[in-house]
Order: sequence, then structure tokens, then C-alpha cells
Amino acid sequence: MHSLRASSTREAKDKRLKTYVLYEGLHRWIAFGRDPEKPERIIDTNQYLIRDGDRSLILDPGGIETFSSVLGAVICHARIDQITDLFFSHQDPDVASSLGMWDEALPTARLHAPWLWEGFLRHFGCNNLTYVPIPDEGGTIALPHVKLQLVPAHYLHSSGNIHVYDPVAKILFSGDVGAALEAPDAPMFVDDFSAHVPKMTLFHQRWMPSNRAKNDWIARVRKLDVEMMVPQHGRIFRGDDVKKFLDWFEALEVGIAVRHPGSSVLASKPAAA
Amino acid sequence: MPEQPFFVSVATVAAGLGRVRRIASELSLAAVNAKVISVRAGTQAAGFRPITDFIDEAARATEKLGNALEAGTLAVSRSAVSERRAADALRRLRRAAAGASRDETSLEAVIDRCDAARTAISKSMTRSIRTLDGLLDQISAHMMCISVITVQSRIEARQAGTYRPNLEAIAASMSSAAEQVTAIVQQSRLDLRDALAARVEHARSKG
Ligand SMILES: [Fe+2]
Ligand SMILES: [Fe+2]
Repeated sequence: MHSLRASSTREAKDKRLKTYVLYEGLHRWIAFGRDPEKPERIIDTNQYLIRDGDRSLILDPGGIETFSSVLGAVICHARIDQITDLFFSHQDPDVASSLGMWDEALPTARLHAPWLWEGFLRHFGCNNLTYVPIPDEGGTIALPHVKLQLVPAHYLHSSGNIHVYDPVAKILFSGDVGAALEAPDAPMFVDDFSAHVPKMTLFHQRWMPSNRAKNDWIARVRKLDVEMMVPQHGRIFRGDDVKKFLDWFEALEVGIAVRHPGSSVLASKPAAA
Repeated sequence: MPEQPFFVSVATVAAGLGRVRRIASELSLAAVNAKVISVRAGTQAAGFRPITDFIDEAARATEKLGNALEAGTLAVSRSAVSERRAADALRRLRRAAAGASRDETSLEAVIDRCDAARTAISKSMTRSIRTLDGLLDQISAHMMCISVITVQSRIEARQAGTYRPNLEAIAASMSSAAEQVTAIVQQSRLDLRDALAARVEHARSKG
């Protein structure tokens, strides 16, 4: 028998992002998260891939530090020439600082992002990609089997912020809304909503600036048929937990730094969103 | 259109080699089935039974090699991204230095440090690629061993009476696994070689 010299201290599968198929029909939703190679003190992010025929769209591809992990994971599901579109919900570094690398990797792809941030996002390097500015009122992205709806979510938390709703899979990608701060190896799905609330409270109170914007968004989302709400951080909400989230968010007062400057909440300084 | 960056090529190779792990688990299943059937077949599979240990060992070894291969390519892929970022930083620093006044020399130390960091990344990547090459050799040799076991299994299966179809099916699944892994490894070798050649060519054209 051939002798085996190869050894690895950790299994290769433990070095990849965890992968979850969220929807499988004529198109597919795949979630990636819990990067085991993520440097410490960087907020963990979830990335989503919508795979549809010869088109693939990555939602909030993430920061430069997790770029290798995201590319390595995504490319197991779509060839590089099949990744045709990127979407940025807003301009934050944990969403967009990998832009310069994607710009080299996908020179012919389109980048869908709020119009407001074009001049700012281009600072990350955007020489090859085509920037498709999303107007304030939203719009659509037509893939072969689904017309994705771009839902305005301004001031949640960014002043130019867009979410993505898939009316076929009934999935809402909610960016930083629904985010939770928790351990890097936390489960991917909410299984106990009440237990999950403390992990979300400070995040929403402090990062979300406007109660008016919040309520406006809730009214818009309540009109949608959402079976799964998938945020950029933390866990995915399914079924009834989506409704529970909207009710909880509605009752929560946000923008607390204005009302309580210097409070102990501000002193706790969690990793940035 | 710009050529495909090296870090994309290596990530593609890593994705391909990631499939070896899935095939290795099929092999493990074949190993378990082989053991179960040879016990059930009793004396009818007397010749087959000793082979089941080899099948088992082959499955484990393939899994381990597959893991090492995938981890190795992922490491190269990460280094390739780091190298790209370091090269980018260096290029920008040099541009800044070129625009600075003649008396301004403090940037030189920064540039030297960045250059050293980039060289270190490149060297470590070259070492990782060499390790990867070795692993690809190992898995190729290993697949040839599995082919030998498959031939042996087919011969013994013929003597196994009523259990012949079951044992032949196991031999067939092993053979298919070995063929698939060999094809992936061959393709990965070619892709890696092309990527390395393009990288050298790119470096040369940039002077
Ligand atoms: Fe954000
Ligand atoms: Fe975020």
C-alpha cells in the first residue's frame, strides 16, 4: 500500500466558509459564513450567492480581509465567468472593501449599489466593473428565473441603503437589519427568538439612526411575503421569526446615542458594523 | 480585457480539488459495503475479505490526501491574494516616492520593508506550490494503487458465487472514484501549470 506522508493539522473543510443552501428551485440561494480564517476583531459577515443559469449575483461580498475565503467558497458553486453581478447594500468596509479585488477578478461584471455611494465606493478601486447605480426608490435586477426587487432601506443604517427581495424564493436580504453580534462559530439560523434578542438589541439601537426610517421600512416589508430574512451579520430568520423580528424592531427605539450621550451603552464599543 | 489574475486561477484549482473530498467519501462507503458483504458472504468471499482492509486503507488515505490537497491549494490561494495586495501597496508607495521631493528619503525605508514583505510572501507561496506538487504526485500514485486493488477485487468477486454482483458493484464504484480523482488531479496540474506560466509572463511584462 502506498505510504501516506500527507498530513494536515486541520481538515480542509474546516478552513472553508460554512455553506448553506437556502433555496433550491430554478435558481438557488447559497449562504456563506462563519469564516474560520477570519482575523480576530473583525466582525463576522454572511455572504449570499444567487445562482441562476449563467448568471450569479453575490450579495454584500464582504471586506478585503475575508476576500480569499469568500472567493474560495463562491467558486465552488459558480465558475468565475458565471459570476456576473455584485450587489452592495451600502458603502461600509465590511460590505465593500474587497471591491478592488473583485474588480480584478470579475472585470466584466456589473456592480449594483446605491447611486449615493458611487463616488465613495470607487475609492476601493473600481476600474473594470460596470457600476450600475440604484436610484433611491429602488428597482429590479432581472435574472433568468427571477426578477429581484431592490427595496429601499435608507438610514438603516446607511443614508443610502438598499435590500433585496426575491419574490420566488420569498427571501429578503436585509443587510445590517436583523444583524446580531455573537461568537464566530454561532449557528446560522435563529432557533430561539427570545434568546436571540439580546444579541441584536445594542446593534440596532446604536447603529440604526432613525425611528422614522425604521417604521417606514417595516411598513414596506410587511407588504412582502417573506419566508426567510437573511442579514449580513448573525443568524437567518425563518417563518414566524420574521414576523417576530418586525414586531420587536417596531417596538425598539433606535438612534440612542443622540438621546443618551456618554451612556454606558456607548462605552461597550463592540466591533464595527 | 485583463487576463485572469493568479489568485483567481488558484482559487479555481482549489475548488476543483475540493471535489476529491466528496469522491473520497464515496470510496469510504464502498469500503464499508465491502466489509459488510464479505462478512455476509462467509466462505464464498474468502478471497475477497483480505482485500477489504486495503479498500478501507485506500479510502482513508484518499480522504486524508484530499484534505491536505485542498488545504494546500487554499493556502496558496490566500498567499496569492496577500501577494497581490502587497504588490499593490508597493506600487502605490513607489508612485508616492517618485512624486516626492529629492530630499524626502524616509519613504525608502518603508518601500524596502514592503518589498521584503512581498518577497517573503512570494517565497512562502513558492514553497506551498512545491508542497502541493508533491501532494499531487502522491495522490496520483495512490490512485494507481487503487486501480491495482480494483483489478484484484474483480478477480476475487468472480469466485464469490451469489455475492458476485455486489462485490463487482463495489469494484466498479472504486474504479470510478479513482478515475474521477485522476481526472481532477490531471486537470488541476494543467491549470496550475498554466497559472504559474501566466504569472511569470505577467511579472516579466511588468519588468
Ligand atoms: Fe453597515
Ligand atoms: Fe455590516
